[in-house]
Amino acid sequence: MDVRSQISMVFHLDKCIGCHTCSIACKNIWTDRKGAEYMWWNNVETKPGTGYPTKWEDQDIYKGGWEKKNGSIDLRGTGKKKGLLNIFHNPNLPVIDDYYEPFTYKYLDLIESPAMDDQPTARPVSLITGKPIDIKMGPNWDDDLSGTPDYARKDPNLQKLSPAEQEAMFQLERMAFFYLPRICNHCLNPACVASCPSGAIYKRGEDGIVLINQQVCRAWRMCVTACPYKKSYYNWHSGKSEKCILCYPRLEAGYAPACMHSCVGRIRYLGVILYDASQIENAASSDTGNLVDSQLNMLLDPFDPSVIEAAKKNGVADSTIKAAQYSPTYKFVKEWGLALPLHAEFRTLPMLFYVPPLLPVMASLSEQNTSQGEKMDPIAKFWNDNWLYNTSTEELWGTIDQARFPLKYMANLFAAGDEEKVKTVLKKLMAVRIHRRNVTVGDLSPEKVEVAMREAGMDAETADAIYKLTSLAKFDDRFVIPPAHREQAIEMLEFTGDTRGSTGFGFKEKPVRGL
Amino acid sequence: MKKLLLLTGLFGLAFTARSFGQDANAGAEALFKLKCGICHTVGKGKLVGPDLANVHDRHTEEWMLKFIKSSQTFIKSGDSAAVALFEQNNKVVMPDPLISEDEIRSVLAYIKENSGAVGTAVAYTSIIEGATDEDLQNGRSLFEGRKKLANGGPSCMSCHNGLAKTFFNENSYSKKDLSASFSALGEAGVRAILENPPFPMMAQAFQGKKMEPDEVHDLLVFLKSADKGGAAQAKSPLPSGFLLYGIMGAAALILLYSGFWYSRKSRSVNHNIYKRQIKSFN
Repeated sequence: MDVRSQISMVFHLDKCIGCHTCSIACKNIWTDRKGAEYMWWNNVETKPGTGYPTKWEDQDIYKGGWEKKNGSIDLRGTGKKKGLLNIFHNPNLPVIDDYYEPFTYKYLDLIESPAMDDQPTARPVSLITGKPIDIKMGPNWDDDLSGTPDYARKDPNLQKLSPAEQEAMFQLERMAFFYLPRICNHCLNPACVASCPSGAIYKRGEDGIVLINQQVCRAWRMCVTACPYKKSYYNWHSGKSEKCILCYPRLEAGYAPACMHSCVGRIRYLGVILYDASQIENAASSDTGNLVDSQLNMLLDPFDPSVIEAAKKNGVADSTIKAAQYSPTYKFVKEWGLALPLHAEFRTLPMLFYVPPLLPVMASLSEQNTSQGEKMDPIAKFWNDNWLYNTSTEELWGTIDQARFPLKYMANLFAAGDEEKVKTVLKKLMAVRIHRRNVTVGDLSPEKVEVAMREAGMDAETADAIYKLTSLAKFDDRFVIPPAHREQAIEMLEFTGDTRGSTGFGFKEKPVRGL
Repeated sequence: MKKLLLLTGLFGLAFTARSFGQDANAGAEALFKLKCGICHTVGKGKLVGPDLANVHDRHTEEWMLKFIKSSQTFIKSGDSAAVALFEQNNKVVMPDPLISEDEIRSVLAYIKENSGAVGTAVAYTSIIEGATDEDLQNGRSLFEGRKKLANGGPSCMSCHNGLAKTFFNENSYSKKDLSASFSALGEAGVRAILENPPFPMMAQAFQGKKMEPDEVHDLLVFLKSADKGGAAQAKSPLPSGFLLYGIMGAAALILLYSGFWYSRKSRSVNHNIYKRQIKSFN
């Protein structure tokens, strides 16, 4: 057992309101620089949608991540052999038009304009060329466009759905969407690290944050191709690649990353998870159906004495182990089994987990009550909330089974296609709601609640704990940041004993008497 | 190019100025000796260029004026007689004398005057028969500048080299190249040039710094041995068809690499969406 610590994240998608505050917080701190204008280390996508860069999930286009071959895994588009063959011409890179051409507006024109008959306008100018442009695309261009043919319907996750299922998703007044905030996953098996010909990318030993050494990077851009989440970006000005650093300077000072700190919906959780690094290879190369399970199996119980012992032997600090025991992410991912990795089939073992949204699912496809409409002109619209958003608990899991949002789609995102896994999670989320409704409203029969809880495999205590961490969690509950122990890092690099006694109380000149 | 023209013009002026105020007849004779006599005789047979006796019977005065003024320009203009003449004389370029039209007329008059007295052709007697190896080495040293010319003239090497043929025109004759000078001009021609440089640049360089007779002798020995019928003349360093093969090779490589990258992502995923959008800028 090779126990290591990893800072992991959980995003609770039911709470995300798609306000992009996280993106702006990140942009203001890290990517408001020349060459980085187009980068969004944190971005929020509307699903179904094509995302940023467009169709990033389609690895037939971008050739990112790992693929299983002869029982082992191999980088899809880069790696030693392919990388060397294409080293001077990386053929699968996203171009600026796949992201978008960054722009600003000439705001000064509004202020400095002389009095005219017409209002002055602020024309958009490219942040790359500085010349006026037509805005063709933005980092969240498909925002809220849940039914559009160009964006939502070209979502790569729809490819595995039958045409009938797809059609059902996009019927007027039945379509739904949710938001998917994305940052670097700080994977356990990062394809970017494996692809770098310069060896510039590394995963920090103490907390598993994946970083690009700007001194070593030689701009081969293999990481841009290799990262299946397209979270490594090339800075055209500095000639180096950059990515989310999980605000490690903030983490080391005990602050939450900017995106998490600023999150309006408080959807983000951060904490330490201990994992068994000796299982990485096995987990990453297991069968597609088994990927999520084998990844979750790597995560270790921080209360298990044998795990603690092995962790200490590996140099994991006591404070880090303690942080792991209080970790909200461990609770969501392992203890409660509510959070799932995004696109486990890329085989990078991402350490950012998502609680899938219940909201677009929770609406049944029951018979419509058209009695009201019959009285009106056929062209008139009538509104019947019953079928649009069914909050009734007449049938326990009916809304999930006949979800207006196909479970298959969710499964393609969060469970490598396994619908059962998503269903289990949604049932648990539903059970928590039924339990809390029973507590606060009390209009449900105790038998029904008991059945719901039993079928979801949950007790009242757990349900309350989930409810508390989901709805009432304070800052320190959501972010359990282990102390950075910089002194250990310094001691690894230099001998600190020589400075002992050389500062502090003492004499600069020897006294005449004494000593 | 402009600079060159200016320079040539200045030289022309210098020569013109010098010839003014001299007694017309004596001036014409001197001018003939200076400018023409190195390669031509009047009634004494062919040296480098043809014998000019009775040249008025062969060409009109106007034609001669044009030819003398700038033979190469005239030849390039396509005059058949001029081209024929050039061909007959082994394509040896006659340098432009850079003298005024009046002076040319006076020289022509001098030639006409002296055409009557047709003398016997003087056979040129070689001065380099029986030259020793020491002479040859001495000539080489003088050419290469290892040994200075006695009167301070520049060594041959400072202007001349052995590379004549250029990449784009294999037939161009470079005046810088001396490896074929002997077969083109003969000993008499080369000697005349060495003793009394007719070319503007060379004349200027050797003004008042004439080569000593033994230096001329040694250089002649060296140039003759260097020539051997032009055998030592450097060929173009590039094989024939170099450009063609280069283009074909580049095309083959491009084809090969396009094969390698046939399945590359050649354009933006959003290409079709962008194409549809209305453009207000290009």
